[in-house]
Amino acid sequence: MSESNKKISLISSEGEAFEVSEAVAREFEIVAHMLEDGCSGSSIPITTVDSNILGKVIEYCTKHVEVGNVEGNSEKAEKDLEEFDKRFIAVEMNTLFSLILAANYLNVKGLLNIGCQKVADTIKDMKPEEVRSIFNIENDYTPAEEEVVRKENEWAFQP
Amino acid sequence: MAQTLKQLPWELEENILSRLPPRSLVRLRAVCQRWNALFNDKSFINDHFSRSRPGFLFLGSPKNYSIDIINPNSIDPTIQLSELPFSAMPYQDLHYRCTTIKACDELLLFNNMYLNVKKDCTNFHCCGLGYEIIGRTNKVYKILGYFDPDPEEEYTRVAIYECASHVFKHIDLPENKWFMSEGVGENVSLNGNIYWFSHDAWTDEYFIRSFDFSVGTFKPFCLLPIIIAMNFFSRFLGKIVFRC
Repeated sequence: MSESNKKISLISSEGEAFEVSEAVAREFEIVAHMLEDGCSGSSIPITTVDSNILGKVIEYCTKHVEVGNVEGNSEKAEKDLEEFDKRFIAVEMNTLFSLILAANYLNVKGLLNIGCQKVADTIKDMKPEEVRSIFNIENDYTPAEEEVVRKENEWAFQP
Repeated sequence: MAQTLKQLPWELEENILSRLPPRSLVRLRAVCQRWNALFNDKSFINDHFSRSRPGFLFLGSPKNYSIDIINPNSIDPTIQLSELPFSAMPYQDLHYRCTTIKACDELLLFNNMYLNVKKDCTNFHCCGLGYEIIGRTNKVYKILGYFDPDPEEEYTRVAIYECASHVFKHIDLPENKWFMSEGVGENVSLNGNIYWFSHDAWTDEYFIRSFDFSVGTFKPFCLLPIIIAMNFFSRFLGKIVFRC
């Protein structure tokens, strides 16, 4: 359909252009669909994602495309990719949430998966009040109601 | 961690929560009412099971451990051993030495533990684990069991416990006498129903009984010509194999 080394510009919410190969852009499923629908333009605006996050998502996709292109994928390459994912996702919560939101919007499944898993691993041993502040959730229990829920599930609160 | 962060849409919150181990989910019921309600939701529970990591509980005396396999699909999975406080088990174990495990697809149930039914303080003894399929793919897991017999009643109260809704549904046994004498033996779970070897003392017949979780009925599955071996079933590639 199109030559493989075609370049595509992805435009961040600030209007900054990121030039990537079509293969990398296709890692964004939303972009892949646009291309299949005959959107032939060489620049695609990603209005909900800022430059900082878009840059990171591109870095993630580039790495995954590179590794995917290597002939006879070795165990070592897979292990390297796992290491890369681990380092890539070791960011503070705010960035992590932005990455998850971007991965969800752009439909980058691998990134969404490791992002959500990272949040789950982080909150797994936290107290409800810590989790509330991370997710920006208001406590809608009355003190009496909360007491009942805590009491009923007391065993899970012990260290 | 006091900073206020972006709010995630509901489906992403659910996605993250479905990856948490059960113990964390139980603790995080206290976060807000919506989360508490979510953890009772059948589709969420199914989603949770589909992601759950393989894990084991090691019941020892005096300590219990949980053994979790982290990144089971990775090349280099790690094993995490953590000690469980005694009170962490919402069950009481009757006989450590004869603990057996019931398997039903991806779920495991530890036998000889019984759920403590808080309200009327009777114990629910688990016999077997199965499921009903709702809407083609949704498995609704259920446990067949019975309550401690009331000395004043002459029969055992049999019930199904629905895992997702925590509801007990009592089963009327028209010929409940057999349950008293035979009970439900070591069983296998196949396609959501359980099968076990049984002996009717009145007629001296040996047969396989089954329990169908979708309709909630017991029925004899087939008569057996001779005694093969009591209580030895194993599941092998979807077929019941008798060990002689």
